[in-house]
Parts: sequence; structure tokens; C-alpha cells
Amino acid sequence: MISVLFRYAATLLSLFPIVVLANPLLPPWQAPTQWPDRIIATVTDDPTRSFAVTWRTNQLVGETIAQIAPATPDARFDLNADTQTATSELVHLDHVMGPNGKFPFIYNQGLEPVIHHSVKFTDLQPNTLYAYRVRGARGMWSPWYQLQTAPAEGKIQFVFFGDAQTSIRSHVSRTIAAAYKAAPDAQFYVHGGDLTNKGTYDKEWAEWFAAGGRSYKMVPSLPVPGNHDYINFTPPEITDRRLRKLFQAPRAVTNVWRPQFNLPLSPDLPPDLQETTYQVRYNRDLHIFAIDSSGIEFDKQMTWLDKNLKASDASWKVVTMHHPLYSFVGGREHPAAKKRRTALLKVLRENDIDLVITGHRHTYQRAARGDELERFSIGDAQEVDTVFVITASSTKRGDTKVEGWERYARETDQEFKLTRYGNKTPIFSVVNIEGNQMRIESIDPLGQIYDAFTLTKSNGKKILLNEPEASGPIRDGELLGEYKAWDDLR
Amino acid sequence: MLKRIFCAYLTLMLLMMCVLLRSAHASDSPAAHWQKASAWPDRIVVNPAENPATGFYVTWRTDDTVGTSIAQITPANDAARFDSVAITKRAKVESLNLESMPTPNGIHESVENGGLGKVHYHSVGFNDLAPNTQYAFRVQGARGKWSEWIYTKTAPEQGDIEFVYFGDSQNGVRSHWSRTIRAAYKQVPEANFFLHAGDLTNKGDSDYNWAEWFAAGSFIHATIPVIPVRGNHENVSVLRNGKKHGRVRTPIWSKQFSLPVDKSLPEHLRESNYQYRFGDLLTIFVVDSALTSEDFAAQASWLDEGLSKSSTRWNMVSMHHPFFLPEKFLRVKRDIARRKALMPVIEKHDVDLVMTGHVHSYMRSVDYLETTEDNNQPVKTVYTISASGAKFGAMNQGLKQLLTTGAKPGDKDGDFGGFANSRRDLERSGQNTPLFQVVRVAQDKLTFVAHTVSGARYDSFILSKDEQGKKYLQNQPEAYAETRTFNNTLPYKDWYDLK
Repeated sequence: MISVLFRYAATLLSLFPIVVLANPLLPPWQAPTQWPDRIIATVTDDPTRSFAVTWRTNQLVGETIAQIAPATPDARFDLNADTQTATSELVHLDHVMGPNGKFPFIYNQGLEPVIHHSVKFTDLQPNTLYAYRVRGARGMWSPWYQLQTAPAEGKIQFVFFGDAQTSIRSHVSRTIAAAYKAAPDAQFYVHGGDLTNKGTYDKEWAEWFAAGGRSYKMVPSLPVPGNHDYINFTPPEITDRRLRKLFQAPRAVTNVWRPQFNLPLSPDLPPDLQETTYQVRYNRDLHIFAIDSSGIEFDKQMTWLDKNLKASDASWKVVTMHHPLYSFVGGREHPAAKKRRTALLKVLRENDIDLVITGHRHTYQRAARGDELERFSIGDAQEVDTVFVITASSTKRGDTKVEGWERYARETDQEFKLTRYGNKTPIFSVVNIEGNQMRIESIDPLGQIYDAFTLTKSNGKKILLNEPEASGPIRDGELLGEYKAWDDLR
Repeated sequence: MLKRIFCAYLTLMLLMMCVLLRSAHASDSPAAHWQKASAWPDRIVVNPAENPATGFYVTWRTDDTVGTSIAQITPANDAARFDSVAITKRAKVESLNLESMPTPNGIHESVENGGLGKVHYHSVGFNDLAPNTQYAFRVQGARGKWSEWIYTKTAPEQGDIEFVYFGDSQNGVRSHWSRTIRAAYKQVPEANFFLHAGDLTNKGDSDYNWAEWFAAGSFIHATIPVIPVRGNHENVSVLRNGKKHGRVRTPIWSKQFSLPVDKSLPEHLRESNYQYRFGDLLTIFVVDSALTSEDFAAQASWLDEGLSKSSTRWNMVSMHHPFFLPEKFLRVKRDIARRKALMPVIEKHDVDLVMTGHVHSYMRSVDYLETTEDNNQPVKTVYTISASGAKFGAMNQGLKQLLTTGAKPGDKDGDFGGFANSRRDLERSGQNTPLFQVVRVAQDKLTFVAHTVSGARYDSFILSKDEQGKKYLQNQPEAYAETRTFNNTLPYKDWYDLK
């Protein structure tokens, strides 16, 4: 019966040419075509010598290629480009194979599978400008994009973005645009998780690329997933919110994460943490650790972090993950948060981590860890061990509860203190490293500096100095304009 | 029975699917998604208002299903929901049939645009804004189909002005020129405007060419106000009553840009001959040099009057065709006629800088007031030619000789409209190298830097102006570096493979 039907269908279909068209109901900035789109450069395990690029097409594009050439001033710099074949991977958007079989994504129903292609350009020169382009179907090339490899040593500048998550195309785009204006020479972008609200929702990824795609092709990204970038395999039959929360369903990072970001692998970690927990030894001076705080086996990740921190001789060490160490914004603290904090605290106390950059709380916070911290003092240098920065790019807001922080400071015997915060204001941080100094400026979408400080290392001490911007009026209460939840921007 | 019902059902479904696919296919042009109009706004571009300090225009495109549209604006604010206080403005909607375009000289049937049909251009002017202020705006296509919020900035009423000047983009626009404009944006993301000195495209009526120009500039065209100069490639030719009218401005020009209409000019000169004044500091005159010789007199008197009335500290002219053409072009009568008509006006008013393109090469020549030994010489006008696309020609051969010694040997004197002038010299040239120029204008000082696409400085000079308005030119070290020619750079290949 089935075979008869199949033959019948095949005969019928053969009468008509099969034309796979862009779904006319999708916005042009979402629909896949034979042209490359969602092009993004990502960091590799050796950014001085290589970078990776990933792009998407519809499923009609099989094998494809990318090209790279040194970006010389010549009109036809492209004539001596090298060609490289891409690795291609088909991704279903309307479902994923979960632990109990096919798990559907109803909001993606009707979307055809897509193909993500990726290449890693290797054997490049450090601190050198390259031009690359990627292809979809034959003749359908992207423009040439220029990208600079990491310097072996010397100045480093990168931008940290907290949660994009909501109204990404409409509103977060201005944050990314402002960051490109404020730091056009930034060498990479760290995305601290919750890039989208529903990590499997194709429309939101379309928004994410529409919002930032302009600079993501030229500045490599270093993304970590957040809890919203995870799939929760709770059976859809359980509709009650409280029941869904109680149900301990298996979880996995969104099925588009690995196909669409080509990230370094971590051989010591389980398969589920590949490309979500990884390290990037950026160059001589900087070592970055990306921790998947929504992923499995946080303790194992901390052991891995501890081991690699101890083995690293970089002068600056930065950890990024989605969940902050501590950020009391009200309500009861999630038990998982407390467990994570205890595990991370142990690593912090035993290692020298300069900066921890996180998101999750939809507010701006800067705190420090150290002995005898002054809560706030402009111009007075104080010794610190680690600085913590939380930012958010989007419209979704949570307010910082200062009293929560103060209680936490008491509980930890003043080991941690909140220095600066700001509510209902998208902020990104620009991190500059030069020699023994790290300078961080946290900037709003208008390009105004909201917070600024430097960390200077000398004689085995790490000195934090607040700059004048750190003492400006705090964006909270009456200082804020009208706020409206982001639901109208879905 | 069940089987037959199922088969019938399947047949029906398949037939419906095929019909749907076919009908979708029939209404589908073969255009790429980055060319094709949709119900979403695209090709969003910002042009300065008549007074760039207090307003700007936004123009965008949709398919012809979008009959009415709106735009919103609000002063940029750092709050998460800055948009809650935005005001709404209705757009002017104009239809254009890309296949059959009306021009003042009759209908232009565009072979380039076969199958593309009608599109709608929408525009809105935002006025009474505060100077030197960031505004957030967004534009709508069909209901609910909004652009993202885009930030742009009004010009300052006083204080320095910084802008980028591009020569011809024209060829390899999406593939190659996209690098040039992105590099420029990276260099000066706070620029007050980007000036495109003509031949933005290769075929001015080709929607595909414009799609390339917009794909290349993308959000930059919507973020930094655009001042476009019409070149000879922004034209169409029209056959009417057996007579061919050449050099007719492409109808796309006035639809997709919102440019000043100077009513003192004949109708067909409006929107490509205009001026912008930036406070008391700078006036830029845009001259459409791609017209026929009959129009030069009207343009010259318009320019003469504008310059006479101008009270700004600095005056500049941008036009597509340069006055000092290399040997290859010397015999074109129209070029000679243009120079004879317009050069005396430039000289009379001691215009500070003339920015041109057209010859796919870089050349900077200087008209010295007197020749002195030191690097701070009194000058009249600086004439620049630049190119930013993929097309390059070996076109500056002989120009230096022509500038300094006069016309070619054997030519009758006078023919070239005062070409020879011993005071003029070619200061810097370059081939096979796309460039963009960053010009910063302050009260007493103009800084000019030509950058390569990889960011290096290729040419630079400073013009300083004293109390009496006398100008002095100082070449910067880059001006003395080795000249890039076809002999000492990478091999060149003509741009035809980049179409």
C-alpha cells in the first residue's frame, strides 16, 4: 500500500518541475535562498593564525566554497584568492530528534530544512587584514568582507554584549550599531548568552543576524549559550507552567548552535559541552574561558576551568558565561544558582581571574571581589581580585536590588561588593587591554559612557581605579523614562 | 475504498501544491532576494534636508502592494523603550514602472529591468529637529512590516564638519565597493555625510545596479546622510519621434533620493544641481556635469550666483567630470565646453576644493597663487579626482605635462579653455587603488586624507586660511610616498567578471 502510494506520488510529481521557492510568507530577511546569508565570523583556538566563517543557504545548495585573500589596497586584490571547500550540514528547523524521538517546534512549522556551511581559514599571518567571501549556489557570492587576525601581542580591544533576547531586530540593532561606532577596531565580540528568547525559533535567529549581521562578518564572535538558547524537552502535553517547571526534562543546546557557530572544541569535556564550553588563548596576553552555565555538569566544567587556568601563562584571564555569580534582583534565588556560585567561588579563590562577564539579569551591574573593598570611591585606588560585569543589550528589563547585594556582601564578609548599576538601559562594555592595564568602558546606545574603570597590575597587585563616569547619576527610579515591557515588540 | 479516497485526496493536495508553486513562480521575477522589492521596506537612504542642521529626508522602497506608509521618529534616548514617545508621519508614495520609465523626453523602455514591473518609493521629511543631535527613526512597508530603529544625526550648526568623499563606485559595487564604504564607515563612523561624486552605478536605469549599491552600503546609507552627485552613467537614452535623446537623467534618481529642488533652475536641472550649507562654515555646491552642452550656461550662472551669495568660510564644488582631463579625453568637445563655462566661475570665486571622479584614477592638482620654496604655499583651488570601485585605468599619463606646460604639442593654442597654466601642478596621483577621502573642515583649517581600503593613508594635505581668506597648502608626508601605478602593484584585470 505504501509503495503503491509512493510510486503514485512520484509519478504525479514528475509531471511538474519541482520548484523550491523562498516561502513567500516569510520576511525577506528570514527566508533562506540559494544566496549565502547569516554570515558570521567566529574565533578559533588560534585567533592570530586563523578564523572561522559560517553561513546559511536553502537546501538546494550542496557543496560550496569560500575564498580568502590578503586585503591589499589593489583594485583586484581578489585575483590571487585561495579557494576552500566548505563543510555543510543540513539542519531541520521544524523538529529535532530528542531523547524520546521527534520533538517538534510548532513555531517553525512549514519551514524547510536549511544548510549551514562553514570554513576555517588557517595558516594566516597575525595582525593582518584579510578579505574573504562565501558562496551559495554557483555564482551566488557574498560581497568581500575584511577581517583582521589577532595581533601576537600588543593592544587588544573587544566588546561584551549581554542578552539580546527580545526585540532583537527592532531595538538591539541600535546597541550593536552603537558598539561598532564606539569601537570600530574591536577585535572580537563576546556574546554572553540568551542571544534569542527561544533558541530554536528561526525568526529570532533571523532577527539576531538582521540586527548585528552588519558587523558580525567583520568582527569575529565568541558566543556562549544562555538558558534561552537551550531546548527543554518537556513534553508539550504538560501545559501547566508550574508543572513544566517541576518536570526535570532533559535539555540540550539549540540544534542550530553548532551548525551556525564554528567554535573551538574541548577534548576533555563531554560531547554535550562541545562548542558551548571552550577556551580561546587569544594571544600572548589574553586567555578567555567560555563556560556553559546552562549546560550539564557544571562541576566538571569548573574542574576543567581550574585545570586550564592553572596551566595558563597569559597575563590576563577572562571568564564569560551566561549566569552571573551573584546578582540579586529580587525573588528567591534559584537553587541551581547557589550551587553554581559555590562551585565558581572555589575556582575564583584558587585562581587569578581578572574579569567575569555575564548576562541573564537584564540590568547593568559592576561588582568586585577583594579584601576590604570600598563600595564606591572615585580616584581612590583599591586592590581587587576579580571584577564582575553584567550587561544587557535588549529591551527586557530586570531591576538591580541593591539591598540584596548588601546582604550578600555581609554574608561573604565583604568579599564582594556592588560598585555601579543601572536599570532599564541597554549597555555594552568595551574592554581594552594594553600591557599591564585593562580599561573597561560601559556604554549606552547613544555612545555615552555610563561606567569606566581601569585595572592595573603592578608588583603582584591588581589595582582598580574608578574613572569619573563611574560616579555619574545612577540610572534608576526617577532618572528613567517610561518603561514598557517588550511584549508589543514580539 | 479508503485507499481510493486517500489517493484522490493526495492527488488534490499535490495539484494544489503545484498550482501554488507555479503561481508563485509566475509572479516571481528571477531577481535575487537582495534585489527584489517586497512588502518590507528596503533601500533605506537618508539625505540631508535643505538645512542639514535641522532635518533630514528618508526614502525607502517597497513593492507596489504598499500604497500608503508611515515613518516614526524620536530623539535618540538611552532608555530601553526610547520608542514609546515616537511621533508618526505619513510618507509620500511614488510609483515607478522599472520597465517603462517616464522621462521629460519621453518613455525610456528599460531592457535591463525586464520583468521587474512597478515598485513604490516612499519618502518622508523630518524637520524642525535640533542640530547636532542623534535621532532614531524607523519606516514601514505594509502594516506591521517595520524597519529596525535606525540612528542618524543632524549636522551641527557650528563647529567642525567631517565627511567622506568617494569617486566612482560604478563597477563591482556589491562585491568590491562594499569594502570601500565599510572601510570608510569604520574610519569615520561619526561623519556628517558621505558624498558620492557620480557614477554610483554602471547603468543608471538598472535596478540590479542600484540593488548592488544598496546591498554594498546597506545600513550605512541609512545612518550617514548621503549627498549624491550625478555622473554620466546615471543616465538613459530615450527615442522619441525617431530622435534619440541622450544624457537624460535616470528616473530612479529623483525617486530614490530626496534632494533639494532649486526652483531658480530649469526643471530638468533640479535635484542634481543643488547646494547644502552647513552653518557659517561650509557650502557644498553639487553640479550635474553629465548634461548636454546647452545646459552649461544656465549652470554657470546658477553657480556664479550661489557662490556670490555664499557667506560661509569654505566653499566646495563637487561634480562628476574633472576639469583637467588626461590626454585620452582631451578632444571631447563637451569637456572643453564645460571647462570653458564653469572653470572661470570656480576661479573667480576662489573655490577651495573641487571634488570629482570619472577617470578611474587618483589625481590631485593644485592651482598655486605663487610658487614658493617651503611646504606652505599660497594656493587658489585644489582639484581632486578619485575612484572607489573596481575599475581602474592608466589615465593620468601626460596630465602633469599638460598641466604645467600647456596643451599637447601640435594642438592649436586656446582650444583647451585655459588648460595650460604654469601655476598648476599635479601633486599626487595613484592607479589601481580604490580610495576614499576623509575631509575635515574647521574654521581656519581643512584636512584632507585619502585612505586605501586597507586603511592606510595614501595622500594628505592641510589647507589653512588666514584672516584675509588667503589659503596655504601643506602637503603631509603621505603625499611624498611612492606613487602606486600599474607597474608596482598587483596585476589588474578589468571588472567585467564582477558584473
